[in-house]
Amino acid sequence: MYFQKTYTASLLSRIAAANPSLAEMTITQEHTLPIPIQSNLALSRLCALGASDPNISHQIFLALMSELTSVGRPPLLLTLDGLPHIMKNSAYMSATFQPIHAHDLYIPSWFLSHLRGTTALPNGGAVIAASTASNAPRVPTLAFRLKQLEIEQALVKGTLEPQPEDPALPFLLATGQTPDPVPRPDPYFPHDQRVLDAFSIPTDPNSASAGSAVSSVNIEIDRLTGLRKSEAKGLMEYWALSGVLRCQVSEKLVGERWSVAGGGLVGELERGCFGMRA
Amino acid sequence: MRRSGIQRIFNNLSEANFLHGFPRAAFSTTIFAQANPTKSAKTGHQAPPKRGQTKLVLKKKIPTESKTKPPAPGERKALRKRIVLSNTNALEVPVMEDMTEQNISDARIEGKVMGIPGSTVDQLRAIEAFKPTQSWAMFRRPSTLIRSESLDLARIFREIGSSKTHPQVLKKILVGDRGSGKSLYLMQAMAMAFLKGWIVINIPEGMHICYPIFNQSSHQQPRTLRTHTLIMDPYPTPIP
Repeated sequence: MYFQKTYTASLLSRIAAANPSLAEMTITQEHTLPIPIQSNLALSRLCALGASDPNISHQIFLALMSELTSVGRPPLLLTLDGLPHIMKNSAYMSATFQPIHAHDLYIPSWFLSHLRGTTALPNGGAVIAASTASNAPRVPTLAFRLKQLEIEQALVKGTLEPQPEDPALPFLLATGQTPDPVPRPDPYFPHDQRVLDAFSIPTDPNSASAGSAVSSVNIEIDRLTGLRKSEAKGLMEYWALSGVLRCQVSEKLVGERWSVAGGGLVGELERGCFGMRA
Repeated sequence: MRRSGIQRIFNNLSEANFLHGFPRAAFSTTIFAQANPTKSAKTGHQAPPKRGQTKLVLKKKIPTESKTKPPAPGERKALRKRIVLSNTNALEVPVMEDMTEQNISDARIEGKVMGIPGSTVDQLRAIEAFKPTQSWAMFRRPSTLIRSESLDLARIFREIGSSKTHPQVLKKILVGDRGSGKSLYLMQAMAMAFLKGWIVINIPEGMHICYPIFNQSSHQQPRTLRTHTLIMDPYPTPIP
């Protein structure tokens, strides 16, 4: 496991700048830190200490997280953008010149442990990760795992759409196996086991349910699609009121721009309406 | 001061007009053609080698020093990555109401564009919720459309915040096409959390954790940290 001291220091400075309520909270636990700290130190001051000295930033970050997850603190929201980037080898090399996997860096592994649920948030909160479609590396294992999770979730909710027919269906039926809508990893593809396990809570191998294909996971996969036409109309009316969209916002215009935006994708709608203007 | 060809010619124009007894045109190119050629300054023309000399030694041209001041290190990058959130050329929309902790989970705001309050905008800017590729610079102030997904999220946040005995944790991964609003959804989640008084920790780009080499030259020393400056580690430190 590796930590990045300068990134952690800049993260601490951003946390302190964005959360003014940290100034009112003081430390309540005993921490063994390389520098002496007073017993009634404010959490914002703790962050500032870590931000100013990258060499101690990692220990300060651990202390801060242990304080924020102690009883009586407000709920915590953890967000990350660009999930595929932390699901493969990073650009770093180890001392023996082997690539360091992103899960061996502290901050991605910290975030994923919260996302998976192995580290709890006792005061509640949310952990939201967003995938990225532009500037995204190809991580087939991640794409496969997210597809698995999405299908499982749809099965539980009962909203599973008809899937394309499995080419192995005749073989499965002939050999008496029941076709399973949830895909299984291709045994001949070099899947990254760490990414396959990233969203699974490790099950006890001695327990009765050890044979189950997927251990219990509580992560919701939210697929964002285009806006509804009513939502698109409301947005375009706001743009027209701002003077940015210089057209009469009629049903016809909304319909046209919505269609050209691939069914109301917000980014494409913006491009079509005020991206390039005549 | 040396008179130019034209001045010499015009002084003699009255004479030139009756040169050789013939009237001449007032403006004629013949005069210029008959004028003596001007001496040109030596512009570094290399003379051919003298007779008997077999080596041709050419002088190196001294490069002229640039008189412009280059930008300070990091200035161009800061300019590229700057976030502009306001444009006074855009009109103000007075009918737009602001997001508050109370109205954020109200069903009547679905489909409406809500303004983000000023203090929350400052917090979002500090946590790096805005991206330079988004179009905040087109509008008077930052605002966001409340989709059905946003309302669902607001309701879940309300439940999480209200239950003291069994606090839940929402765990979500957003997937979707390019431009479908994933980053904006995260920004809305952060805005709601700030309004509710939660603590927010955001990792704005997973790329910046794992690919620092593209952002920094390896010999650069970590500078004194300023807020909102993205500085990279040339190498990670192993945890013993």
